[in-house]
Amino acid sequence: MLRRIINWFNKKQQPQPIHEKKFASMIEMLVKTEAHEISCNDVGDALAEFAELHRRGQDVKHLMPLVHQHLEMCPDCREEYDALMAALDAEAELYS
Amino acid sequence: MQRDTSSWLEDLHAEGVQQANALDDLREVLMRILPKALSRWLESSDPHFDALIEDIAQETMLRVLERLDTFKGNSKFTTWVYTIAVRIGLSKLRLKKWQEVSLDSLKSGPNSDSSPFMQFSAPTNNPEVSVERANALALVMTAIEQELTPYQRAVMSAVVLEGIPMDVIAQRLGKDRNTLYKVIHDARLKIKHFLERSGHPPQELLALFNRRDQQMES
Repeated sequence: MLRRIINWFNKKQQPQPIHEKKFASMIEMLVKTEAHEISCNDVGDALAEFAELHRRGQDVKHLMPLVHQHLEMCPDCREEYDALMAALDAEAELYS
Repeated sequence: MQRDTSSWLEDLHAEGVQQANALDDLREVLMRILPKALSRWLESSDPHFDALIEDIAQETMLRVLERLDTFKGNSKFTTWVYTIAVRIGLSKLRLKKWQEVSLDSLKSGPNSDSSPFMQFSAPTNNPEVSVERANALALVMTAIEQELTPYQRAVMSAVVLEGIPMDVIAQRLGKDRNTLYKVIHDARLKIKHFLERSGHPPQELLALFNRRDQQMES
């Protein structure tokens, strides 16, 4: 128990370290931060169209820049986009 | 899958057997697509796999019926359905994965005296580069401490640095994801403006990391 208390105290006193790559990723997010960004719900509404355009080889970064930017900023929406693309791959495989 | 978008809409807007048959077909599509769409997050060996897929499919169908009139026709109907399904599915899986993890620090906010990340875990061996990077970290931490509210610091740290999904934090705090995204967006803007005012915009700090890494690797 004493050891656990000492460890807890030391942990509280020492700053947590951060990996350089994770810090650089955070700085990259700051670089890409815009004054106007759209919400997760807005992205959800546009994601199907964005995914179909992307699959057709369209330049989605320029056609739908706000959605593209949000996907670079939001890990939850990015995961949902990846899952949607996997769903479209599965659909092409199962039903074409 | 026999239907196109217009026939899906016609059949789901109908009543009785016509709608029931369309819902059966939609369930069948979801039960085939979802395991592949979610395979990165849900393994077929998971003991709850079948129940989860069924649960997600059922909730998706309910949501689709509720929101049928909001479909704008900017994509195929099924692509729109998958968008709803993966959001429901991943949200459930995130909450399940993080259900045992305590996030008490989010409720109280971090100690205002704390400096959460004041050193690198594996700094470069180059002393000159190491000092420059440490200065960059100290500058960003100063921005975080001076510019952000305790709530912004806690949410930003949890999502951006610790990788906790926003869905999980939103559920614990009784907020929605849009609200949390706005909190983080405001925090990012504050830090960015602080760095620009201090004469070290984020582009300059990022170049410090990228350029030096390339030199070290070559």
